[in-house]
Amino acid sequence: MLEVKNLSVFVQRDTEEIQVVQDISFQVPKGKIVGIVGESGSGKSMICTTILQLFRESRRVSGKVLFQGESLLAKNKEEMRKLRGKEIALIMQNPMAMFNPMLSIGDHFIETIQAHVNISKKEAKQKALEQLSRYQLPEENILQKYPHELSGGMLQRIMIAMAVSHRPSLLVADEPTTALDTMTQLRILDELLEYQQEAGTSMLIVSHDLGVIAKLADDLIVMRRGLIVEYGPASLVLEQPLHSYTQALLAVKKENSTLEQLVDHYEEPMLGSLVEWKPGYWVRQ
Amino acid sequence: MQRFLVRRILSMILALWGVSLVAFFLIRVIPVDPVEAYFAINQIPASKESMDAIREKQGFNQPLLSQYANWMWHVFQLDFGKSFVSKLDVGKELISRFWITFGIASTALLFVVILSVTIGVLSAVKQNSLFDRLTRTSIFTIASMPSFWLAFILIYIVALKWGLLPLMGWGTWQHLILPSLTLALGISPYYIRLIRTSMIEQMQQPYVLYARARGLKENVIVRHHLFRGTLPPLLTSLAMTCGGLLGGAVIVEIVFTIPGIGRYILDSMGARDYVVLQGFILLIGFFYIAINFVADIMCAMIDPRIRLKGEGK
Repeated sequence: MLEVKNLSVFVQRDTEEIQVVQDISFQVPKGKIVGIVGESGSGKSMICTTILQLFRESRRVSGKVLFQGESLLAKNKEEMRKLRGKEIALIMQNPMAMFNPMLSIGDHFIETIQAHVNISKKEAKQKALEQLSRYQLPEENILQKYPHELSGGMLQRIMIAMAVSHRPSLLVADEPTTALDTMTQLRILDELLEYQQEAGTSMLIVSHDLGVIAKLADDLIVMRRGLIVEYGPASLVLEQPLHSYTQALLAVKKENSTLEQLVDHYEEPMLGSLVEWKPGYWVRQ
Repeated sequence: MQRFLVRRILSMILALWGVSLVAFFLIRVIPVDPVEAYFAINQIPASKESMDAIREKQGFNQPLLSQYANWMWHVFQLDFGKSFVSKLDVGKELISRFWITFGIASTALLFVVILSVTIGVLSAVKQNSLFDRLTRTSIFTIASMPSFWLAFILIYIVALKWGLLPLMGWGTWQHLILPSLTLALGISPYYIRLIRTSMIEQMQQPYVLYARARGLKENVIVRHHLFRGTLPPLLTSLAMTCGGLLGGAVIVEIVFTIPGIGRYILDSMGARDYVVLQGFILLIGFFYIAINFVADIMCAMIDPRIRLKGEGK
């Protein structure tokens, strides 16, 4: 489904070019959920936006991103636009900032539907209503609401309903539950999982929260400073992590300390190369 | 929205009342007596008796407050009084001339909107392109020219050299074009910059990124997200300019010898014709406030955050 090979991403900061993603390879098999976990600045969000080719002008990318066997990096602007939101949908973090405050939820929904299907506004509205009712969102009046009138959790759920309205074959979720309360987090994760299983969609989920990833992912990638630390079946990685960084991450979860504390305390340099320890299980040694 | 409307209407009424106060009292502060000016302009040797007689007739002897109340009372009945100089009905005189000035100003506004929206949007979308750089330079050149000079250039090229449009005067729609264009060229650069800057600012907003992530076409992003966001500041600022546009029309009228309100007011100023001046300030004030009111309503319709401001969620 999605295959990332030797991907490196460089961004220009002031005068120097910084490598934010270093030689990363992984795949998201059809119908599977792959989770990427790591502290902020580990390059995990960069991977999401690079897959969708969102910052083409300001980033240099090497390696390969293959989606259904076709190279995404080789696609032109319009080809990429047609894929975005239709075949590959993105769920973003911080929904409060992502919606245009001047447009109603209905406007957002309708323009999303009309971007990929040539139908009238009325038909698009009808589709939006169907989609909302599928996700148990209060239908008619929510379309007239403006983003500031709704909670972050509600906006995130609308974002998900919108993202899956074209039945994408790949769903990319970048910190989908960050900044939401625990109950809302659980509800949103349940909805995502439910949709993924029903539609058989492949999914790439990115989070700094191991709990979120543990709940969903089939395969797990642990990243730090643009590198993969450990990558394998989620059950194995969570059960008996091999790399000290992953162990530290898990300890954070158990001890209820914060990720910042971990970042401060874990100082070991990222050395060694990625070794296939078991079939389908890599670790940096 | 209703609360927003009520609040805006109340403040509009208050503003209008303020305008009437300014119109009435400020003119009377000018240290030239209208009766003396009247005699001087008409070169009539003034005697104290004849001057007093006129003062009596015009009501200038009464206390200021009762003069004001009397004037307002008539204004509410849409009677603006008779000119002190020509003895003609001020309301009728003002309105008939006002339409000419209004025609020039509103055509100019139309030109401003067409010019600044097309050029502003294009130069924002094609940022740093040849087109963008060319317009930036030419904008500075045009903006730095005084309007009467711009008028002379336009008259010379379009009317004299090419003979496309009438030189000056008034009568047909062709007479409208050069004066309005002069006015429009003078202020369009400001709006081109405003639209360009505002659009570019919004390109950095996360909602534009999200719009791209959903696969919206670039032209939809420009129309729905970028241009919509520039509308509130654009409308507010256009409404504020309307007063200036009417004032600018006065200068242009003189260059093009158009019988608009400008000349009339200039003459009335010389004669200290209180009645005309009061009526004029009130008319322009009313117009200005009404336009700003409409602009505010339009902004509130475009941006829901404006109409919710102060209402508490």
